[in-house]
Amino acid sequence: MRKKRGESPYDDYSRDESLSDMYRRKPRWGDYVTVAIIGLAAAVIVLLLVGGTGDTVVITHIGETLERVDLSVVSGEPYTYTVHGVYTTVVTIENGEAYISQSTCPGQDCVHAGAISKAGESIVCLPNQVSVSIEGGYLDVLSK
Amino acid sequence: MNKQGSVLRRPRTLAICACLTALALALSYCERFIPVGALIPLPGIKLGLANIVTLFALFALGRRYALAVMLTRCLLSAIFSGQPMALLFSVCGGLLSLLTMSLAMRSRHLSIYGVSILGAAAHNVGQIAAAMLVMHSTAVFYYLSTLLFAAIITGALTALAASGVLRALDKSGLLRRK
Repeated sequence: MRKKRGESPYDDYSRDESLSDMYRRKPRWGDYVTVAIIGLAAAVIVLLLVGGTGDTVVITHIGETLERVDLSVVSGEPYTYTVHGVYTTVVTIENGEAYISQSTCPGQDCVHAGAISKAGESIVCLPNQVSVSIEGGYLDVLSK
Repeated sequence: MNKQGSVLRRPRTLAICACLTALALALSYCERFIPVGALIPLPGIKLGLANIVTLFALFALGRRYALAVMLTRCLLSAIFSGQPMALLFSVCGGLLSLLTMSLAMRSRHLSIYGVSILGAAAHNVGQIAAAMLVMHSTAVFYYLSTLLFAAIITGALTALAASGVLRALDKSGLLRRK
């Protein structure tokens, strides 16, 4: 079953390419522009979200605010708040930072996410639909 | 396109698609044993090895076949893992990624690397959008910046692998029409 070129579905995207680089395996200049644009977008998101003044920790569950705690108020004894959703998630605040200390969710990503202390930062537990964020990032300030 | 040609090709393309779907499923399973999360402490971060298959299908077979392989993989993977929620995330990410990649392919100035990186970035955007929907909160958006940086690296690695596969299979004659 011999066929001329241009008859098979394999040719759909490679018909016009030179045979030496039919599958576009060699980098082209557009690739570097792509990397630069995505890197820039990521940097802009960080700059817009993180920073600014604010140290109120907000704990939410499915969009509903459960608790607001001032980071600076907690001193000495660590403050803990337990969210009872599908799973149980324990949020701990101490030494000016907030973290998820315990969670019964599978994956444990939220526990491994570590601690947050800057305005605009967040920790999310997707399986339990819990988020812990610090209010007062630049975007929050602008939207007020 | 010659109708008769594509009909004659069908069993072979179908077989290749089935192999690719199986391969993608195997890769997404193996991925669990690569602890990328230890390197970059971020929930849900992964290499996206299954995207090698999507990328390969896109460049070697065309977008229709790539879409079929991707959707079948998402569905089967959700059934096997028993997490229906995973379907929402993988389909959101996968569809946006494939749409972006097939659009990006139209630019002559992009190689497989640029297409793959854009696809990886779009995949992350899709997943963040799905997460916002599930969470009813925009807090997840904060993760997007790190995920975009990660997409540059994982996208390039995926393209490297797909490029190697394309070269090898092209040499072997499997993809050749003659």
